[in-house]
Amino acid sequence: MVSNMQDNLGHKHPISSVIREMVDIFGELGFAVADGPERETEKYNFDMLNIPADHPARDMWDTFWTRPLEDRLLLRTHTSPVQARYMESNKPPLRIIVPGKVYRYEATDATHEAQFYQLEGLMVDRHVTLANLKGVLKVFFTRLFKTESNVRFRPSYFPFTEPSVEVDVSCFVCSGEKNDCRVCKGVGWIEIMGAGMVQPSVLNRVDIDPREWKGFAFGMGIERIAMLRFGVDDVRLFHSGDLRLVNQF
Amino acid sequence: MLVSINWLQDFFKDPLPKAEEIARVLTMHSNEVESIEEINLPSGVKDTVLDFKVLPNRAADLLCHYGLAKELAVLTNRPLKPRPPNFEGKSGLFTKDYITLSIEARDICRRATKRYVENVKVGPSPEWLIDRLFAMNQRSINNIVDITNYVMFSYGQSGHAFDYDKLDGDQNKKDIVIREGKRGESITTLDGQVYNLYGNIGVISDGNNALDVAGIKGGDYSKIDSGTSRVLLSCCSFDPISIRRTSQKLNLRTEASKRFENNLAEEQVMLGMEELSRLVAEITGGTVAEDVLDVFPSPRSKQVLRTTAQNVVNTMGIDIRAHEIENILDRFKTHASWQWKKEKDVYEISVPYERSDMYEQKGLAKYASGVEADLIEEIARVYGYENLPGILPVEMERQAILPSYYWSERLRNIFIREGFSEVMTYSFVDKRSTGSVRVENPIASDKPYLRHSLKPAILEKLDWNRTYKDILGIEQVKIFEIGHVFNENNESVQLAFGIEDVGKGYDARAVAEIMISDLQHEFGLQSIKYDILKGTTHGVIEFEIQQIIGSLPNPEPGDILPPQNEISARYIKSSQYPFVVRDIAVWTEGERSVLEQLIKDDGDELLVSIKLFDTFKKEGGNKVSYAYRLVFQSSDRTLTNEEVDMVMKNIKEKVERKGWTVR
Repeated sequence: MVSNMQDNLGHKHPISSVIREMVDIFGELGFAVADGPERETEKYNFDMLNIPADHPARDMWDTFWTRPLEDRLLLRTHTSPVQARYMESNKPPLRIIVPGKVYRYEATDATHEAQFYQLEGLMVDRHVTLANLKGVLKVFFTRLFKTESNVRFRPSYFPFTEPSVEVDVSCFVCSGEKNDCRVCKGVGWIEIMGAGMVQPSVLNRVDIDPREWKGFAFGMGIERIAMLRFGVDDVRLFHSGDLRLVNQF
Repeated sequence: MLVSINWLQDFFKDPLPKAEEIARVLTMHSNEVESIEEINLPSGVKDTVLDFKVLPNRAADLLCHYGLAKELAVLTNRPLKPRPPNFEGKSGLFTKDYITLSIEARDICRRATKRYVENVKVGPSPEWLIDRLFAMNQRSINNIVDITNYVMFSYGQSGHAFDYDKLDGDQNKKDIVIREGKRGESITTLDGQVYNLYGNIGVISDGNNALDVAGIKGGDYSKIDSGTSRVLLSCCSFDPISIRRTSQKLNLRTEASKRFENNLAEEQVMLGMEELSRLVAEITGGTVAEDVLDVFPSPRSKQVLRTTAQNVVNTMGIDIRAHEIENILDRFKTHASWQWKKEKDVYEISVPYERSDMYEQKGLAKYASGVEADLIEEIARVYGYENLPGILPVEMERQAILPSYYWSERLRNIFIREGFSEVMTYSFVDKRSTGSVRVENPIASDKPYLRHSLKPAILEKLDWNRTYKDILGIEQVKIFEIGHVFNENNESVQLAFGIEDVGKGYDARAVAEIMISDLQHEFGLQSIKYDILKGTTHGVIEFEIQQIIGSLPNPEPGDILPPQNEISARYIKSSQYPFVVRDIAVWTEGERSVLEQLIKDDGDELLVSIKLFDTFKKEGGNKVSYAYRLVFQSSDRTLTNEEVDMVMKNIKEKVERKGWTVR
C-alpha cells in the first residue's frame, strides 16, 4: 500500500503536532503555556510536591540522577515541578499547561520509554472543584478527539493532589460499541491521565493560602495519546529520528 | 496484592456478589483490580483471585484480606461477621517466666510483642490452609510457618515463630533484645543467604546472636523444624523508613518488608498476635501462654480530623447533602471502626489506627497526611466520582503565549516550509561525545552522558534516513530538531538542522549557512550565532533559540500562532524487510492520474512508493513521457527479484493494452 509521504515537503513531528493541538485547545480555555528545566532539583521534582524521601511513593517515579550526586540534581520525572516553580513566581488566579520532556529510569520496550513527553495542567482560583476539572477535561477531549467525549474519574493516589483520580475518557474510535476495537478493546474507556485537587501542603509551600485558594492539576503522556490516535505500536519510534514515521504526518 | 474471593468471604455474613462486581466496586471506589482469574486449589475447590493494585497510600491497611473486607463492607454497606471472642491462653503459663524483652533500637522498632508456646506438633498444614496460601502463590512449608504467613495475608501483620530451644540463654529463660546489628556480625536467612550486618539494621537477638533481619526476613539458626516443641511467637512494628533503607541496602524485598515500609500501624501487632495464638493452639495443639509481653515505648492517640459539609461541597463541586455525608460516615463507623460526631456544622472524626494514610506521620510532619483533605477524599470516593457532573469554570481570557513556545513554533513552521522534517532524538549520548553532565545510573552503559549538542544526532539521523530515501520518496534528507542540551551549570534550548550532501558539486554546508542568513532576514536580526559541524560534507548547524527570543518582542495576548494543518491519522507501520526499486517510463497521451492509478492497482500491497522523477514532452507532440521510481516491499517477507519482475511485467502489459508505450 502506498503511504502518504510522497512529497518533498517538511513534516512536523507528530508529538509536536499533538502538543500544539493541546496548546490551542487549552489556550481557548484561558490556559497559558509554562516551561521549566529538564535537569531539575530534588526540591522541585519531589519535596515541593509532597513526595518525601525514603517514602514508597517515590517508587512511582524511578529517577535518573546526575553527577555529582551531592548536588541532588535529577532529570525531571514529570512536568509537575513547573507547577511549583510557576506558583512561586505568579499570584493566583492561575491557569497553565506545561508540555515538556520527562525521564524515567526504566527499561525500555514497545510501551515504555526512558524519555517521553508529558502535558501538565494547573488551575488555581478561589472556587475550583473536582466538577470543574471534569468539565474542563470533557471539553478538552471532545475537541482533541473531534468527537463528543465523556470523562470518568476513578480513585487514585498522587502525593501532590488530594483527592486524586485516574481519568478515563470514552473511546474516541468506537464509544464502546465494538468488541474488537483496536483502541479500547471493547471496554469503552481509555485510561488517559492522572489528576486531582492540589494538595493543600503544595499550596502552603509556595505561600498560597489553601483556605483562600483551591486548584486542580492533571498530567498526561503525549506519546500514549499519539499511539492510540495514529495506531503507532512502538513508543520508541517517536524518538528514533526515523522519517518513515515523521513523514507520514 | 492477590486477593482470594473465598478468603474474603470468610469475613462476611452473607454471600458476596460476583467477582466482576467486586472488581467494579473496588476499581470505581477504592483501588484498581487489574485482573480476575479462576483457579483450582490443591483440595479441588475452586477460587477466584483478583489482582488488586494497592497504591502506596493504602498499602498500610489494604495489603491484607481483612483490610480489604472492611473496605468492601463500607463500599457496599454489607455486614461483616463479628470478630471471634478473645483468645484465652492457658492460665498459669506465663511468657514473662520464659523470656525478658527489651527494645534497644527505638528508632527502628516501634513496638515488640512476644508470646510463649509449648507442646507444639510441627507437621503438615490442614488442607484449607494450604488452599489459602496456594491462592497467594505461596507454597506450604509446615503448619507453624504457614500460620505466620496466613496471618500476614489475612491481617497484614507479619509475624515470626522462633524455636525456643534453639535460642541462646538458660534452658528456661532467654533474654530477647531488639537492637542494631553489630559491625562484623552476619546472619544466614531462612533461604540460606548470608548478610553482613552493621548499625541501622534492626535485629531481634537472643542476647548473643542475631535471629533475623528484623521486619524483613527470618534467620536460619532459630527456624522451626520437625523437632520443634517450644515456640516463641513474635509480632513487632518497625519504622517504615528504616525498613525501606535496610531492604534497599541489602537488596532484600519480602512480603514482610513491603508491609512494614508502608507504615503498618503499630497497633496492629496485637491483632496479629491474637490470630497467631489462636491458630497455633488450634492447628498445632500447642499450649499458649496466658500473657503477651508487650514493649510499646510511645503509644499514641487516635487521629482526629474535622470537616464541614460546605468544605466537602467546595472541593467536589456538587451539592452533596449533609445526610448523604452522614450516611457515608455511618458506613465507616459500622464496618471500619470510625467514630464521628457533629458539633454545629463541624464533623469530627476519629480515625482507626490502621489507616496510616490519614495520620500525621512521625518525622514526616511537613508531608501532609492527617489533614482535612484526607477526609474529604474518603467521602468523595465512597460517594462516587462517577456521580460528579462536569462543570466548566468561569471563562478566562486568552493569555499571551509563552515566548519560548511561540518562537519555537514559528521556527518549526519556517523549517517545515523549507522542506525540513522534524525529528526527536535521545538526550542520552555515548562516551565518545564530550557531554559534560554524567548520569549516575544510565539505562544503557554506553550512553552515560547528557547531550551538550544536538549536532551529532542530526548527523547520525541524516545518514540513517538516506538509506530510506526511495521509500520516503524524497531526493534529499533535510531534518531539524528542537531540544534541550546540558552543560555542567546550565541548560539551553537549541535548534539544529541538517542538510544532506547530495553530491554533483552541491555544497550542503553553504546551503545550510544560507538558511541561517535567510532566518536572520526573516526575523530582522543583525546576526544569529551558530555552530557548523566540522568533519562532514553534510550541512549541520546548531544555534540557541534564546538569542532569537531575546532579540524579538514577546507575543501579546492577541498574537496567535500560524494555524496548524489537521493531523493525518493514518500511520502505516514500516516493514523490516529489504525493499526493491524499479524505474518505469511511459509514453502516453492520457491523464497522469489514470496512469498512476493503474500502476498502484497492479502494484497492490507490495508497492510502497511511487515517485515521478522525470517528465519529458517532445516538441510538437501531444505524448508525454512520465518516469517513475517504484519501491516494492513486503511487510512479512524478503521479496525476490522474480516476484517484483512479475509485478512489473503485469504493469507493462496493462499499460500497453491502453495503447501506451513503455520506454
